[in-house]
Amino acid sequence: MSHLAEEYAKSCGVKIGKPVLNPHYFPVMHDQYITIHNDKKVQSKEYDMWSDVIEILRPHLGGIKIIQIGAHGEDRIEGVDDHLSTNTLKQCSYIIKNSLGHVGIDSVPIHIASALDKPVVGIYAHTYASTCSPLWNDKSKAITIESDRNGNKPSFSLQENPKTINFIKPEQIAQAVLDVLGINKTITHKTLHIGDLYSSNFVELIPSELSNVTANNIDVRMDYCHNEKVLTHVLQSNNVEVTTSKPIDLNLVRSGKIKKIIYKSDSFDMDFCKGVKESGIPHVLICMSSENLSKERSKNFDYLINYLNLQDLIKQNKNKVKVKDFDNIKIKSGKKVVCGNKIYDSYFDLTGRKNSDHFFIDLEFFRVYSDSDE
Amino acid sequence: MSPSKKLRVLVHSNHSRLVTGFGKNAKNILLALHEDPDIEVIEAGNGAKSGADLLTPWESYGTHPSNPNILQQIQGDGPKERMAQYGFYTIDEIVEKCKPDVYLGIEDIWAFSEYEKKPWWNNINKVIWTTLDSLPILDQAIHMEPLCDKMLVWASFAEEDMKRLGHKNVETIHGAVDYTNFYPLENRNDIRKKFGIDDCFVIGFVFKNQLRKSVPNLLQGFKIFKEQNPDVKAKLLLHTDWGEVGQGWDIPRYINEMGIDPKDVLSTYVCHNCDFYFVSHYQGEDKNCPRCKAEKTFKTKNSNKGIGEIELNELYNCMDVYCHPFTSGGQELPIQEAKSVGLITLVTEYSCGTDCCYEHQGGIPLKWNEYREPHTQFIKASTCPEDIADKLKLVYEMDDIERLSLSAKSIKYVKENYSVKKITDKLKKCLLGLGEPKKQKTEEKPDQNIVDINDVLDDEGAENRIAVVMPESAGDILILNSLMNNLKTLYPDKNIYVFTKPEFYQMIDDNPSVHKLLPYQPSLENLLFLEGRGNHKGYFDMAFLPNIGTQRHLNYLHNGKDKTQFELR
Repeated sequence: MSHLAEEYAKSCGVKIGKPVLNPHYFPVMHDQYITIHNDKKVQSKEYDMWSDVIEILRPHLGGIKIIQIGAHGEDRIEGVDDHLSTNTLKQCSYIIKNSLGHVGIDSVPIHIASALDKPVVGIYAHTYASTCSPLWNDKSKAITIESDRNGNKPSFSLQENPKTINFIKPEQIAQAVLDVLGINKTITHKTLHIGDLYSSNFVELIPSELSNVTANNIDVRMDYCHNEKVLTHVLQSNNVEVTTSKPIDLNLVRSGKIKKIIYKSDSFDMDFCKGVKESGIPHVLICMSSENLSKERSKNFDYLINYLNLQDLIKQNKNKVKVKDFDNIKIKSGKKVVCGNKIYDSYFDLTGRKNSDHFFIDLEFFRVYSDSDE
Repeated sequence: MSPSKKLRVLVHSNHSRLVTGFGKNAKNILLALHEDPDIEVIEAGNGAKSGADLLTPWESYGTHPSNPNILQQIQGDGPKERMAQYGFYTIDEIVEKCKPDVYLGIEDIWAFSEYEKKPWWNNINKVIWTTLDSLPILDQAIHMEPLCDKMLVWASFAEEDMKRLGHKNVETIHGAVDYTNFYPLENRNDIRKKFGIDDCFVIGFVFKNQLRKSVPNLLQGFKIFKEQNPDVKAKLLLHTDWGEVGQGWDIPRYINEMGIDPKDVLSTYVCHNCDFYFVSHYQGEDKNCPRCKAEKTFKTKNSNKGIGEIELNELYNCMDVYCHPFTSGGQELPIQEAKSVGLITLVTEYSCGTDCCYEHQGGIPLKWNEYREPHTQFIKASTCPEDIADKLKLVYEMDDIERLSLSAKSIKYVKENYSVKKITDKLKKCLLGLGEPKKQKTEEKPDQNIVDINDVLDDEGAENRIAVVMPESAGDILILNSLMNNLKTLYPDKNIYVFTKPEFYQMIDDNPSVHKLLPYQPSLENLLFLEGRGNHKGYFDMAFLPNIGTQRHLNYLHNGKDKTQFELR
């Protein structure tokens, strides 16, 4: 195993010892806690499902609190009890030193926890875990979880798409935390699929009836129900994206309230496209017909025309997750679907789970799981 | 080629969506050849990322490497980065994948440096279609001509001079101009009115702000014209990137220096948010858009954001005469666009200017003086300001019949010599007429680097010092921390200096074995600089650079499977 420390040791001709590190005091208002760490500095290291981990872990922790550590700038993880941003790594070390253990991404807090002989769980994806795993604490006190990367080798890249760190299932991390803390409980939550877009966070609005929804990221699905009256209403209190399969009134386009237009069609109305372009609104054209694609691209070369074949998408997604009985699965979605004043986890749910095509069309927004405890 | 099989032509140029001369040409010929029954085009687009879906009607590949290993190797290495921009590191894979019958490279000639060493070069037909802009002809072009099956040049002066030198395998094919978006508008007066220039004599110049565009000469000529014709309400419209001073001319400075009224020189502003454009005298960059109100989005056009062809056509229609003085040029597409609009074009009578500055071409030649470009020694033209003023006067005083006659010649000349159809017909004839691929042989290339650190070292002497260099990051410095006590035990008489970025000092500054922490600099990654060589005594008895085989070059991964026969913990 080629751990970085061994490489450094070989290079300097010495054995690995223990670091000398004196933490600096930092006030913490909790006694029994674990620390958690995530940050955005390296996109491929950042894990997007810590809130799921906490949700799964929480019932098993009793009174143990979860404190997020960081150095300012990182997003607060939904579900943590506290978020402490420190000015120095020595202050961070103090918080870790007084914790019951640490869980986090491949970053310096993992090594600090290890140097301070704390139980630690580290997650890895873009590099081999064996090259940078916790080094100094007792083996039983350290668990490393490495993404399977769908069978691929590490990318060693700072940017990944999709991020292979997100292939790690949240329950796997939650179980490791319990194990490393010596809490003898088994997690029954089982993730069946994690969509690439699960971490998106937006609302899809089906404009079949008036809605009073307000949110930062709304996509009005005019392609599901072309209703300009509802769109006009929504625009009064929101800036939105619009997905449409036919032209919408250019006065609405010019209202200044539409942030982006996704135009899905077999062939495109170029007067509408021109109006959209002139309005300066970012737009995406998606051709839904393979027969028309080349012709549409040639005809409208100055527009970027993407291609989407829904049947191919459904077929492809059916291979990603096998569902025998939709009643036995649960969905957490990266988008909420709003119709009127009702909120659903998916369009599939909105339609009463009758048409499985809707499930597979939106699969990449879902984390699909089962939980025998519930 | 069997009659039923289409000729597969790999067109390697600026990506067809880039708004550059090469990009526009690529778009025009690709769109035309894509419809051709005898030819199947594949695009290798420079400026587009490898692996990206370019959403073109034809098979296409971006050429800028996305492979992290290649990116790491070229990072910070100027010549390699430039070669990467020209697709040098990805073209082999593209050729291997799409197996073309013909490689058609359309770029500056230096883009094809060492292509003759490519593994596929001898196996397929290769045509290089390049822009040459000066005399004497570039050595790379002379070198490349016998290595390819056909060399095409964008301007006839280059063909003539290469033939004079005995290189017969050369033909002129101009870059293809899609003039369908460029034509005289009936409502040109309304547009001029919108910009408040309906009663002015507007002299236009559309260009990328580069030093080879003779902006000072034009401003001087404009000034002379104004002084000689004080009653003429003349405006000079410079559609260019006024803000990119580092790369080109500081236009406001020259206007000021020459004492020209800044309101007589117009610029084009475009909103980076809503695409709205407007013509006015220059008022600085990063203005608020008057239409969408977005802040700091209203700027003169630049390499990231220009105006569309419809708007550009409006702009040409605002002009009364087009004036294009340059030191040299490959083709200069704006001249043909201006001609398509029916403008009389004043062009420097040198380089590609000789293809468009004469009367039968709807042009008027501008006189120039020769100078030699420092370093390259190429002949360059300095266009005479007095002649610019004289020719402007000539156009201003032309009667309608003369003006219309020249205007008609301009339009006709572009249609007959630069239209997409004419150019693709010529190109197709060339491609279909290629014989067996030419086969050639090859050769090889070198590297560079130094700095000082004496001021920050104590006076224990080089023989008593050890350096450990590790630029980053926090975790690595903590690991390094764990080695320091053992290192000191091994060399108890030596002072250990650790070089790292100051933000990581806190990960090692508690360790008493470290004598001094000093800021990292890239020059410290040279072992011989630290330890000495020859008459350079060096600064340290020993220097350890554990980052070299880990951070600088990934030489430790081994799929996580390597072992050591000795204990390191």
